[in-house]
Amino acid sequence: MDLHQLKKQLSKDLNKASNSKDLQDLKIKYLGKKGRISLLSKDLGKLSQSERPKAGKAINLLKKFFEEQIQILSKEIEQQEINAILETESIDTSLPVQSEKLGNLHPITKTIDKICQYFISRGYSIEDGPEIESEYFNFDALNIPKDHPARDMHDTFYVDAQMLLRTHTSPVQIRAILKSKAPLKIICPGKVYRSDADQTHTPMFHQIEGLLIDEKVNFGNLKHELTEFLNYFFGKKLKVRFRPSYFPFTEPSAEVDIMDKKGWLEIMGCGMVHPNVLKEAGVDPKKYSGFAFGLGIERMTKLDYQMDDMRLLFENDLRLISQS
Amino acid sequence: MKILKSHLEEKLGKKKSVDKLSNQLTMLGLEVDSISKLKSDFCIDIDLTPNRGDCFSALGVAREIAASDQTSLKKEKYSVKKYGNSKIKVLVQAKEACPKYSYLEISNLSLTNSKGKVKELPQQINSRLEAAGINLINPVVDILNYVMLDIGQPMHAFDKDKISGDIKVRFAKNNEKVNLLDDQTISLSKDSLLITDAKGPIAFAGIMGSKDSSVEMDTSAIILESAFFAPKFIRGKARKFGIQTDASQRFERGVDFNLQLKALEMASALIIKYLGGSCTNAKEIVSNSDLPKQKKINLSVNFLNQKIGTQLPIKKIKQLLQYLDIEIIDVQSDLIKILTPSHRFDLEIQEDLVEEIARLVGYDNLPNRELKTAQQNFSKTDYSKTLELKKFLTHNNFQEVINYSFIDDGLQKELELSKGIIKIQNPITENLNSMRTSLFPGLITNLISNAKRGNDYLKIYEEGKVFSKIKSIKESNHLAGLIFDQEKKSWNRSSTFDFYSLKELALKIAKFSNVADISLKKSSSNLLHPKISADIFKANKKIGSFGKVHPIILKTINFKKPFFYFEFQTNELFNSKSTKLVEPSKFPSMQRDLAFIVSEKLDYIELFNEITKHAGKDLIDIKLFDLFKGGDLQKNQKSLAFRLTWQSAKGTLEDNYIDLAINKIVKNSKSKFGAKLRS
Repeated sequence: MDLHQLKKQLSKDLNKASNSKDLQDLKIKYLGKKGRISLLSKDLGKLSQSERPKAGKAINLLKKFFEEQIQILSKEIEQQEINAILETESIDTSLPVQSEKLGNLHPITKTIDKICQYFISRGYSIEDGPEIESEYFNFDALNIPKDHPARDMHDTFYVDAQMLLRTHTSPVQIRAILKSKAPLKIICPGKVYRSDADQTHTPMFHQIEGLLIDEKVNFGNLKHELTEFLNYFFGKKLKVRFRPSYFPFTEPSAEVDIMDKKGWLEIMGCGMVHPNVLKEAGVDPKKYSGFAFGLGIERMTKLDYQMDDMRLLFENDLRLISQS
Repeated sequence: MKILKSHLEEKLGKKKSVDKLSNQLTMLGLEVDSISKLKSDFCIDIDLTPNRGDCFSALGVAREIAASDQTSLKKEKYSVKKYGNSKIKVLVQAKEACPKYSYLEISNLSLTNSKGKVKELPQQINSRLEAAGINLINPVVDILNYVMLDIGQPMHAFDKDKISGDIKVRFAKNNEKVNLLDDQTISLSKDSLLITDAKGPIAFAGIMGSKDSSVEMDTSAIILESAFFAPKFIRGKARKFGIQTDASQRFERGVDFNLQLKALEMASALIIKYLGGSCTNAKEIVSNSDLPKQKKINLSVNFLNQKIGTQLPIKKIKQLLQYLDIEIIDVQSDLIKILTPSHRFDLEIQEDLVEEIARLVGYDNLPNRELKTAQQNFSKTDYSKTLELKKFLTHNNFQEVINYSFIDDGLQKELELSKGIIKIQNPITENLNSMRTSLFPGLITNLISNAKRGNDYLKIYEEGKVFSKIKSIKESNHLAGLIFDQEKKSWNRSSTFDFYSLKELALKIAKFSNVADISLKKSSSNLLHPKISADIFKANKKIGSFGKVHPIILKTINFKKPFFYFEFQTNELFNSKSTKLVEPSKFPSMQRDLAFIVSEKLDYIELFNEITKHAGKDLIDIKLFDLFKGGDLQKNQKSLAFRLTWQSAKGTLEDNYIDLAINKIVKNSKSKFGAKLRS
């Protein structure tokens, strides 16, 4: 058979091929060990020296032609086959899925953590203390002796003559100093209790207490530290003001206000640790000084989530708390 | 305290804009709570801190503004002609509680005019009292209240004709009764201070007068009392008997102990001016040793500047102190020696003076300074671990809730959770009267309220403290969750949350927290279904329970549908060892499947233990991949199919090693449980 006819036959075969198996068979038929093109190449030896180059060239051209055609065809066939798979695997993707409601941390936990992460990154450690506290730690050690008018500011729940539900997280200051000694840097988030209930007060609420004691800490350090914190919390540079106030366990004492749309808004209390408190906890006030601050988590949560009624935070209506 | 702007301006001798005034007060530490417009005037409501009793008057507030403006107050002088001495004798027995008692007598006054109508005081006095929220009573009482509002000295007037014999200032006898002006009779204790006459109590000193001795419209002679009662004998009394008065509020914070005669002078001048009459000389009974002392304090300029980050010169500091009526006794290089004024009870130590200077300079004018301390703490706490665990539950689609730590003790009793219950002596309401011993009551309350709203699928958890007192008070951190699944499932998901879902979760929590040596036992919890529950142990210590809630609990809480519950002690979850990473084996693993037919009554764990006991040390995994009943099995039988995987870290395992293990498993399972190998 001459090359011309072989090429004709080959084209015919290629036209008939419809799947990858046909292609594979054709490859064997033409290019296999005993394939027709392969046999032609073997027969080249029978030709004379002068005929060989021309015939070799023609066979190579045919071989190249065949390989090109196979490649084109195999691409087409592959595409057809994938299309067929896609067709049989088709599903209705518009069917609805039952999505389980995502769980969420309570807004208060989120606020606490937002605050804690800042102070952790500043090297503060997190402390914890009992919620049923002694009068000593809750009041006396904090320079609030019996019958001190400041005790009136705390409507205290008592469980017996000496033990009460802590009215603030400040007792942890004393416990932390007694445990770790100066210098130290701590914050303490936790529940506190006061006998008070209205739109802005719940009998249980959360505070974060901060305390830093070191040598030569001054009021300017306190102002800087808290201003930076407030800028972080609200995510922008705020107008912050410090104004004189009174806490028995700090001197000087201050309230911190931030400028809100409606005017100045009270955010937290702070001050330089009162020397009586340092002495009570066994720290030499001549060597060390420090500052303390406390802030109400519910207030921060209200601001961060733009809510009005604080009591809603404890009603645990999933429609509300799952939004945060 | 409420005060009119015009009243302050009168004291200052100049006008101020209300905004400026209000801002100035707030920045001085006298926080302006609100301002309300009253005709052409403003009523300023100041939130006084308990240390500043000296600001409980127009004079006190104006004094602060003047100091801040670095000016002096306008001087006011009242004088009245006096005739003779009062014949009434006053005996002060309780000197420590009443170091100073001043009084005088006014006779021939009249509260009414010739037509029998009550005489009117100038509108200015009335409107100042009204703005301050002080009720108008009668002209005598109103004048005394005005003196109190104006300069801060609470006073009292007795109707002289209702007094018999001498006056005594003494402590009450136990259970001694006094009938007060507001018509309530209270029974006193020994530490209560009384003013008495020959018949008995005529006033609860410093707090309220008695009904019987009070000034009325027909009164024509009075005894005016202007005393200094020591704060610690007044404090707590008003609150104890539920009678806060304008007088008690001032006395318990401390009244200027040099103010008594000045107040008598002012009051008698006003009374005589508006109500007529004449007065005697004032008499004053003083126990100097019991009077508070003006304190001497040494202020170091260096200390002050270091504390507030300033460089104020000594001259400036002296000037500021003087504006606050603080007397400078001496200056020695760095030290300023001062004497506190008699109206300030809150200045005791150097730091108090630092605050005074800081206030006058203005907190906002003090520099902010970055802290240069390098002190860092790396002590490990449970905070981060607790948060991780909470996030783990959140990622398992649990919603966190926060309930009050105090709940109804009745509910705790009904749920048999009242062992070691701690009651609150003064609960805010009866349904918040005991500390929770478990997180269960809070969570079921959340379930009930949310189910009422039509929620049929709920996964909630809470993390917090529970409290009990057996010998001593104990607080422990718990983590509890509740799963309620009554939802109609979707077309593609049919499984409802069941005990095994809960078991998987409970073990995941333990594993997530890295607790080693976990075992499960039948639960002893009263809250849980005895057949569908388990307690989880770390070594020999119970660290939690989980299961279906006991049907009897459903009855108790009147909730019809079943739900699941778990509660862990988180402290126990966290004190576990750190993890050591082990290099995985490089050698191939071998797998064999074994199916046993056993009695339906046999617990899985029994057969499991038997298999693991005989499988050899290289068994690395055992999985129950099929549980089958019915079919060709007898009625009381079940088939359990296991896939066992072996692997050694030391080499490739041989077939006959596995065969030997299997033979041993089969033989022992047969002899122990009659287990047959299923072919």
